[in-house]
Order: sequence, then C-alpha cells, then structure tokens
Amino acid sequence: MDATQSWAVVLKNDDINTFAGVTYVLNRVLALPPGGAYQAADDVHRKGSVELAAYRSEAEAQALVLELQAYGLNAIVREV
Amino acid sequence: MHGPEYVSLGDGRAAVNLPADQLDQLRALLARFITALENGMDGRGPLSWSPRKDRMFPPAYDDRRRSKVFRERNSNDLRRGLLLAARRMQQDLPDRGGFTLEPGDVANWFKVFGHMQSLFISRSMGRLPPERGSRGGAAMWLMYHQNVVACAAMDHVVHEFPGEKCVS
Repeated sequence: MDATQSWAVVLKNDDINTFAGVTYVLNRVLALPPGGAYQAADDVHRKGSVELAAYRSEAEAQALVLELQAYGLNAIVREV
Repeated sequence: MHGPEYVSLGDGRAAVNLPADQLDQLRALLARFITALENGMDGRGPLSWSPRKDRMFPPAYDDRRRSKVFRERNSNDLRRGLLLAARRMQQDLPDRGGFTLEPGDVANWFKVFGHMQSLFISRSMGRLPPERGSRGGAAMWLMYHQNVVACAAMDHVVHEFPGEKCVS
C-alpha cells in the first residue's frame, strides 16, 4: 500500500436531512461539539459536500460511512 | 387541542407527548415501514425496489462498481438495524400519554423518521408543503418529527416550523 494513500469520508448534501439533523448526527457519531457540527452542516449545505475525516485504512473509513448511512446521511469513501 | 411536544430533559434525553391521532399515524407508518423492510415495497422480497434502495442506502463510493460491492456486503445489516429500531419504536409507543426517550431511543427515532422519508417519499415530493397533498403532508410530518427530536436531544426547543434550525 502506498504510504501516502489515505481514505476520506465525505458527507454529501441531500434533500432529506435538516441542519438540525446533520448537526445531531455529527455530534453523536463524531463527538463534534455542537458549534463545529453545525458549521459542518452549513458547509455541506453551501458547498454540496464536506470532508469529515481521513484514515490510513479503507476499512476505518467504511465503518464511519456505514454508521452515517444508518442515520440516513449521504456519506461516501473517497481515496485521496 | 395540543400539538406534539418534544422537551429536552438534558443528557440527550427527551420527553415526548404526542396527541392520540399522531400516535395512530406513527403506528400506521411504522407498520408500513416494517412490512416494506421485511417484504419489499412490491412484496418481492426485502429491498427489491432499487430506486428506493438507492435513496435509503446511497452509493458509498464515487465508483459504481465499488459502491455495488459495498452495498452487497452491508445493506442487509443496515436493513436489519433499521428493522430492530422500528420494532423497538413500535413496542415502546404508549396507547396514550407522554413518555421519555433515552439517548439510544432518540437515535432510533431519528434513523427511522429519516429512512421512512427516503422510502415513502419520492424525490420530487420531499419538500412539498402539506397543502399540496397527503404525500407532501407525510413528508413534512416526518421531517418535522425528525427535526424536533434531534433538537430536543441537543437541549434545544423549536419555536416555529417550517424551519430547519434548532432555536434555544
């Protein structure tokens, strides 16, 4: 495996979840403080997507995507 | 006549009081959701309806092939998790009166309200106001409840709706 390779978890905007909903999930799943979680929700709304985290392991990124999908968020794994 | 109430109790808990007609509506939606997860919208088996499945479990990669592999490996677990959450909600709903949601219950409610929107509401209906018809009304109803349960879990109250943000 390439030593510089990493796997990002990217949250994409959707037509279901509200600001409050995204803030709640990011606070609960990633333990982001409410202000930081709200900022990320706002970034997703304005930019269409935001990178939430990066991992050396694809499996770790997949695990987070699964958890976010369970909450109904539209998250993907992206090789960076 | 009183509307639904979601009041923060702190520590991620919420006190909920739903009018009888809304409890009945929630029971009906839960029954339909559980049936769909168990048997599919068309009765041909769980998650046999691909457009809805795409909305419930969206692609996990930009690459279509990788997404397909990921979904084949994980969608049954996601479906089973949602089934457990929905059944728990169904079992815990009181006939009448208020009740308390623990943080894990709040998470279950949030997940089920969100996935019910994905499953039952087509993309074009997602943001229609209630007066546009019963399906638009259901979308708004589900979105409202999902939003206020999230706000209550974060120690906020919502003073007005429509609106997507929690207000203290």
